[in-house]
Amino acid sequence: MTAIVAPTPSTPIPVPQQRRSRLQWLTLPATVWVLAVFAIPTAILLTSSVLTYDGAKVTGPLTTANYGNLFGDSYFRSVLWDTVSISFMVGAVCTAAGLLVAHFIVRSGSRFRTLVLLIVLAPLVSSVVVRTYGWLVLLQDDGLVNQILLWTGLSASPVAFIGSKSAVIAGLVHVLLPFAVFTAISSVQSVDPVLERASRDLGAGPVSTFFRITLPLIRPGLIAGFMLTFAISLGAYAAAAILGGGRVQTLATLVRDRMVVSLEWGQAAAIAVVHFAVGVITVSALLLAGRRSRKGM
Amino acid sequence: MKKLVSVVIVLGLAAASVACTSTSTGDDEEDVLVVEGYGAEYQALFEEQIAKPFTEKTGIRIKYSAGGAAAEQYAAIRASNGDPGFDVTVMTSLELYQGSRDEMLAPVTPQQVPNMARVPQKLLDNTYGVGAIQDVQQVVMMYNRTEFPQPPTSWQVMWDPKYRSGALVFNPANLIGVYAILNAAELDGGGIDDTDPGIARTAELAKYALATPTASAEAVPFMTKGTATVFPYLDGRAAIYAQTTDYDYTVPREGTYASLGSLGIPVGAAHKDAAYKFIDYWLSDEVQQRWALAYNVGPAVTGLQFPADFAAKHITTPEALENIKIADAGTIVRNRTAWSQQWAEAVR
Repeated sequence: MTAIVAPTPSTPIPVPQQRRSRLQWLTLPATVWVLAVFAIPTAILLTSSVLTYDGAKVTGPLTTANYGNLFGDSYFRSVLWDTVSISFMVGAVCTAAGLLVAHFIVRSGSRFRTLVLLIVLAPLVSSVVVRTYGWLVLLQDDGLVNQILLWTGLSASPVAFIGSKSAVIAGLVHVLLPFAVFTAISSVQSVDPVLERASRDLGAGPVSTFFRITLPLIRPGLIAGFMLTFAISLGAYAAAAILGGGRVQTLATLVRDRMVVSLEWGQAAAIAVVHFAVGVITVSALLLAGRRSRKGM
Repeated sequence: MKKLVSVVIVLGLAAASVACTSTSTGDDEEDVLVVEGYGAEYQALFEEQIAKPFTEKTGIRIKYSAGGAAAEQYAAIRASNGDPGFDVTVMTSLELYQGSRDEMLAPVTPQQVPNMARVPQKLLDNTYGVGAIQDVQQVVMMYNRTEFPQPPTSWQVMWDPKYRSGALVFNPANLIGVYAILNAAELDGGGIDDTDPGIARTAELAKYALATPTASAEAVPFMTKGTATVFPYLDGRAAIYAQTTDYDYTVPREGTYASLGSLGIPVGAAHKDAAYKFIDYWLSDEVQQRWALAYNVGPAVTGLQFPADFAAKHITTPEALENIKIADAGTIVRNRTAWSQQWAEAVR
């Protein structure tokens, strides 16, 4: 295992004005790329959400009817709630599990650290669709999970995992755990072990040391990990489509249905805008919380 | 000089990104027809039974592109404003209706496709002037032979406590799911204009059902493992698995709905003349017979002779075509979102 070195605070080296203006050119390709693939489609999306469509043709004036219809629809509200709650659960589980794994990798000194790191990395080197179908095989009625439940007597009959939120959450946690682990690793690394040792020397137990010393110091990293996994979960399509078994609908699958099956593009665009807004609001709130957390340290 | 290099790099990246995101098929030659259709066994059959002999006969090469469901192919046509990069697409009569309404599909008439003159009026009525029906499938009841020594005779059997835990409840995002709701509604006096009884029945069945598939391929593992008891399916695929698994299929006494395989030409297609020739070729007697037998479906033209056991299982005669129900495409298109939503709430 390669040594994990804690980052040391460094003072930025001043860059001469002339060189700085030349360096700004380097941002141009990325700026053009972002404008082309994000800003322009987002502008089109926003516009589409306030247009009135008759078939493929735009008719009538700009309208907020697409939004009105959405929020007046109890089904949409329930899908919105399901999407947010699933993403919240995924974020919470990934953050908690990521912290445990990161703590083990950084602090334990175990010879299995490399193996654990490889296991954490493994999902990143295979396709998300393949991984999700892997969960489908594991969770189906005669899959490995049900076989274990039946064999151990924990369940008398197969549990219907497929088509449940728990299956979608399991699939997403598997896909997103590496993001939470790597965010947590950098946070745990930044905590000077001397502080934890001092706490123990002064009589605090390991649990008390963790909650009173380590956790406050790594909180910004945990918030960042939660933010990342929550935001990706919000827009995840494959897990909901495959493991949801048609019973679990999220905003991403709903957009696809409105776009492809019912061809209601105005509604699809409005759902996508709501989806985008939920992501922006949540991430902004978490960024604010992270900043306050850092200021409080 | 350095500024110039930066500008060149930026322009190069922009050009590369445009090249990478281009949807052009690169098939600008007059003798290439781009056909978009289904994948898996459909593609293999198409290549063998349609594409190869068509090229031998006309010299027009076919480039087949396996897309997703018919709805996805139509969405691509609409998103590209009628110029999706393919010349002919395999879809259903629902997409023809939608294409006619949106003016996204080119007209297809007997003048352009002479063999359409031999297509029965009942099928022509479902082309909306913008396509051709090339095969007729029917929604059959697939059943597990080990559970049913005799074929079940009513759709009602899916709700029987003895079999309901092995039933499959298809999502209306798939047409099988739409027809399943209509068949269920009719059991309680409803129908296409009153689907509430069908939705209520679906909700009841979903509490016990084995799975709620969205794609017909999702039913295959349940057949290979033998865990499904009874479920609606289309006869083309049903015939394949009747040969390879313990399942067989039947049409219940209440009757059933047809699913009309269709060919459409996007309004902006580059090779329309070749597309008309291709559709005309597919509607010829020889190809209709060959395709029907290979894909296990009914032909779109009348007067063909089929083996008795084949004819008993598929729509091959004018009488069988007359008896089968064809749901109004307009009603389905208008209500599909609401039905899907009701279905989703029911199966949660």
